[in-house]
Amino acid sequence: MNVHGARERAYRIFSAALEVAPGARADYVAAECSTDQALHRHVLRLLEIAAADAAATGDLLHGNLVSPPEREGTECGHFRLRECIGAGGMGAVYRAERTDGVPQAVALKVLSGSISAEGRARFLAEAKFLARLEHPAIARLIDVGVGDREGWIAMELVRGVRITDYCDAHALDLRARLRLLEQVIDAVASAHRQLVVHRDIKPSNVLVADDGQPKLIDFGIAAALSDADDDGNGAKAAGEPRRLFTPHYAAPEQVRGEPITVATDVFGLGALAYRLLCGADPYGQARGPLTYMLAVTAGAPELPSCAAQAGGRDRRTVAGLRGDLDAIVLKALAGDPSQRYATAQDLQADCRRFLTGRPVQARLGGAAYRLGKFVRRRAAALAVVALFSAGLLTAGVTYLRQQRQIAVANESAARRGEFLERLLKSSDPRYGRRDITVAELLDGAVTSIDESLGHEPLGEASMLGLIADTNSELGRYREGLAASDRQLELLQHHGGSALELARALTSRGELLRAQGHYAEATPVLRRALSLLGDRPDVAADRATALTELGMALTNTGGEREAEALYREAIALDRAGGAPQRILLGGTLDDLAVLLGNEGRYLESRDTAREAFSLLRQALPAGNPDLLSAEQTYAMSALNVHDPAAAEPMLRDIAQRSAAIRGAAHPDTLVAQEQLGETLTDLGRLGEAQQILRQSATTLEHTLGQENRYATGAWLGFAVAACQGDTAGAAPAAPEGLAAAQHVAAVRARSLPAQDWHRFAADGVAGLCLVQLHRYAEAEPLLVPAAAALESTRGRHFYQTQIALKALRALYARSGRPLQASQIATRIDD
Amino acid sequence: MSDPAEFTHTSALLAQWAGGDKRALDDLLSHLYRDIHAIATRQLRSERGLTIRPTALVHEVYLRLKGLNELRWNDRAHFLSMAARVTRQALVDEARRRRADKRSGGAQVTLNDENLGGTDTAFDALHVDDLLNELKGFDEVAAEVVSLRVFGGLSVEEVAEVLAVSVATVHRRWASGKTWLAHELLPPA
Repeated sequence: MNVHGARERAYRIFSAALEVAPGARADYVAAECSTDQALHRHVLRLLEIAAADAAATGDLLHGNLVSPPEREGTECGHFRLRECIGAGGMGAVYRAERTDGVPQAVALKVLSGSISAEGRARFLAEAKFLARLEHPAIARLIDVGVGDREGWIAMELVRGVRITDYCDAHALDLRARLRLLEQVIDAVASAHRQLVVHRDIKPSNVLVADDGQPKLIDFGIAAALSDADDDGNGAKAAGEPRRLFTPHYAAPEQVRGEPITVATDVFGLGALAYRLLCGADPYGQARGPLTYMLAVTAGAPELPSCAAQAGGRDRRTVAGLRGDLDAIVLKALAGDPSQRYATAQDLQADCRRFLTGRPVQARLGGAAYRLGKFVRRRAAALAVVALFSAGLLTAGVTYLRQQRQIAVANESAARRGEFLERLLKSSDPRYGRRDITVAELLDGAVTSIDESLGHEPLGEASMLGLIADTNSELGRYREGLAASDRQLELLQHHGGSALELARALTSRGELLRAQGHYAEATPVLRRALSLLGDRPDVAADRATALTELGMALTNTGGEREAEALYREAIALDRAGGAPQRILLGGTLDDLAVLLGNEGRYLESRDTAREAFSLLRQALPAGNPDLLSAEQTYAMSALNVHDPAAAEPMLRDIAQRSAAIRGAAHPDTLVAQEQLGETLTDLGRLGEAQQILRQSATTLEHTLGQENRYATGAWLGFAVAACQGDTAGAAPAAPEGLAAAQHVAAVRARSLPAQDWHRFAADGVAGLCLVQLHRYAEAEPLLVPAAAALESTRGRHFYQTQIALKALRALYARSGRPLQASQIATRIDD
Repeated sequence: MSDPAEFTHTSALLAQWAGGDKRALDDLLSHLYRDIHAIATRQLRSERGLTIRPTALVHEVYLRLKGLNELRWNDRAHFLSMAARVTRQALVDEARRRRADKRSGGAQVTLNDENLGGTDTAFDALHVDDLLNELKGFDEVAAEVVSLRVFGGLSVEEVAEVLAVSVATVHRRWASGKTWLAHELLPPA
C-alpha cells in the first residue's frame, strides 16, 4: 500500500508538472517533492521519459516539451543555454544568449553524436555557405561550431508559432493561406537560386512570427549534417546523401534514396500546401514511416478538395479547392520529379495566377500525367490478357482482377513491412532512425537476420520467406527470388518440415508466376503439392497452391487441368468452412472467368453467382475483390442472355467505378461499355447508342485507336446503331456502319490476318450492311467471318452469333429461304 | 462467425444497438468477445513467440463486421471503443488460461503497440492490465485513454469523442498515462 501511495504521488506531481510552463517545471517539481529524494528522482525520470517520447513521436502538445534539466543554464560555444524550446531527431533546440557581451538571443540547436574531423570541416564549410542565405522568410544562420562531443548551430530566434497553428488560430481563409504560402515558396525559390536545397520542408520548420512574417528554419541543415555525418572517406558525400525524411512531407525520391534536387523541395512545398489548404496530411492514412514509404511511392494522394470534404471542412473551402488548387497541389506532389513544377518559381507563378484569377498551367499537365501512368500499367496487364486470348468482354474482367491484385498486394506488403520494421528496430540499433527506404529495409533485413538469427537456421528461413514475399509484392522479383533461394537451401539443409518446405515452394511459385515465368512456376508448385499430400490439417495451404498452379496453367494453355485444380481447391475451401470463405470466393471467381473464356456460359454464370454472393457476405461494400466478382457475375449473366439480370449490376458497377475512380477512368468506361451492350440486348437502343458512343470516343482518346477496348466499344456501338426499332427503322445504321468499318480497318493494319478480332469486326460491318440492304457487299464479309468465328471461338460465342444472325437475315431478305433456314439451326435462340 | 445465420444475427444486433437498444449491447459484446478471442488464440497458436498487436486485431474484426451486411456503420469510434474493451478482456483471459495450462509451458501473451511510444519490446498482457487497473485508481481518464489507444487503436480525436472530453485533455492524459505506463514497463535506466 505504501509503495502504491508513493507511485500515485509521483504520478500526480508529474502530471501536474506537465501543465506548468517548461521553464518553471524544475522548480515546481523540487518544491512539491521537498526532501523526498526517491520521489524527486521518480518524477524527474517520468519527465525524462515524456521528453524522450515527445522527441520521438512529436505527439505532445507544442510547448509541452520537457528539457533535459542538466543542459539548461550550461554553455555551448559562446552561448549560454536558456530554456529548451524544441526537440527533433537531430537534437534539442534551446533559446540561448551570447556570453561575449553582445546582446543577442538565438535559437541554438545542440547536435548529439560525435563527428569525425573531416566531417567537421565539411560541416563548417557548408555552414558558411548557408550563412549567406538572405531572405525575409528565411531564419538566418548566425554561427556554428563543433567540438569533440557535440556540434551546435545558432540561428535567428523566431518568436512565433507553426504555420499550421497560425492559420488555424487566425481562421485564415484559403486565399490568405495561399498568400502566406507564396512567401514561403518565394524564400525557397531564392535559396534555390543560390544552390541551396532545404530538403525538409514541413509545418514544424515553417514558423510565423507575431507580425505575420513566415520564416523557414533549419534551411539546408539536413544537407550540411548529412555531409558531416559520414566517416570521411567521401563515398557518401559524393554520391549518396543520408536519408532523412519526415512522413507525409518527404518526396518519393527521398524515400527511395535517390538524388535530392530542387524538385524535392517542390514536393515539400506541395505537401505543406496540401496540409494548409485542406487541413489533412497527404497520404494521411499512412501511419508510421514504412506505410508512408509504400503509399508515397505507390500513387497519387487523394484530391485536396476530397480530403477537405472528408475532413469536414466547410463547403466554401471545398469548392475553392476544387479545380485549379487541386491541380496545382497535385502537380507539386507528382510522384515523378520530372512531372512536378520544374522549379519553385514555377509553382509560385501558378499560385499567383490563381490568386489573380488567370488560368493556371497545372490543369492539363496533371491530367495527362495520370493518364500516361495508367496506360503504362495497363500495357503490362494487357500482355497477360492477350495470352488468355479471351473474349473481349471477359478480358475486361481479367484486367480488373489484375488491378485489384495489385491493390491487395500493396496492402499486405504494408502489413508485413510494419512487422519487419518492428523486427529490425528491435534487433539493430542502426534502424532506430526514421530514415530508411523500403529497399534498404529489406536488404538490411537479410544481413540483420544473419546476425540475430544466424544460430537458428529455421527461424532465419521463416524470416527469409517473409522477405521473399514482401519483395515479390513490391515487384522486386530478383531480390525476392534470392531470399527464396536461401530460404529453400536452409530448409533443405536443416531439416525444415515438409509443410515449411511446401509453403516456401508455393511462395516461390507465386513469385515466378507474378513475373510471367509460368513454365518455371509449374514444377515448383507441383512439388509443393506433392509435399503437402492430402493431409486434412493443411487443406488451406493445399488450396492456395492448387489455385496458384491453376493460374500458372491458364497462362500456358493448360485450361483443362487448371479447371480440375480450381475445383479441387474449391472443394477444400468449402470443407474449411467460414475462415476460408474469402479464399473460396476468389477461387470460384477465377473458375468463372476460366469457364467464361471456354464458352461454358451457364456453368460460368452459376459459379460467378456463388462467388459474388459469398464475397458480398464476407467483404465490405466497395472492396475491389467484391466489385470484380460482381462484374464477373454480371458478364456471365449477359453471356447466358440474361441482360435483365446483368443490367442493374452493371449500372451499379459503372456508377461506383465512376465515384471511386472517376468518370473518365478506363475501368469506368469499360463497365459503361458493358452496360451499353446489355441495353442493346434489352432493346433499349437509344440509351445504348448514347452510352456506347461516349465510352468508345473516350476510350479511343485515352488508350489509342488500336486499343481493343476502344475498338470493342465501337463495335458495340455499331451493333446498337444498326438494330431496327419495332417499326424496322434504323436511322443510326449509317453511323454504325462507319464505326464498324473504322474498326475493321484499324484491326486489319494492327492484327495478323487470321486473328479472330478481325473477323468479329467484319461480322459487325456485315450486319450493318445487311440492315442497310447492301447485301452484295455484306455477303463476302459475313460468310468467312461466320465460319472463322465458329471454328476458332465456337458457335455460342457472342460475335459468332452476331455474324450468323446477320447472315440469316441476308439470306431471308434476298430470297434464299433454304440457306436462311440452314443458318437458323446454328443460331442459339 | 461460423455460419451465415450467425452473420445475420450479429448484423441484426449491430442494427439494434445502433438504433438505441441497449440490451443488444450485451449480446453483441459476447459475440465480439468470441470472435476476438478466437482470432487471438489462432494467432498465438500459429505463430509461437510472436506478439499480438491489439490494434491490428481490432481492425481485423472491424473489417469483418463491416462486411457482414449493408448496414451503414458510421459509429466507428464507439465500435472501436467497445472492441478495445473486449480485446483487452480476451487477451487477459487467454493469458490467465495459459498461465494455468502446464502444456503450453506457461507461455506469456504479449502485446506490442506503436502507440506505446518508441518502445519496440513486447509487454506481458497481464502486467499491462494490472498497471492500467492501478492507474485507474488515481487517474481514471488517463487509464481509459491509454486502454482505448493501445487496445483499440483509437485516434486522439476518436478517444475524445468516446469519452466526451476535449482533444486537448486526451492529448495531456495520453502523454501522462503513457509515460507512467512506459516507466513501469521499461527496465530502469
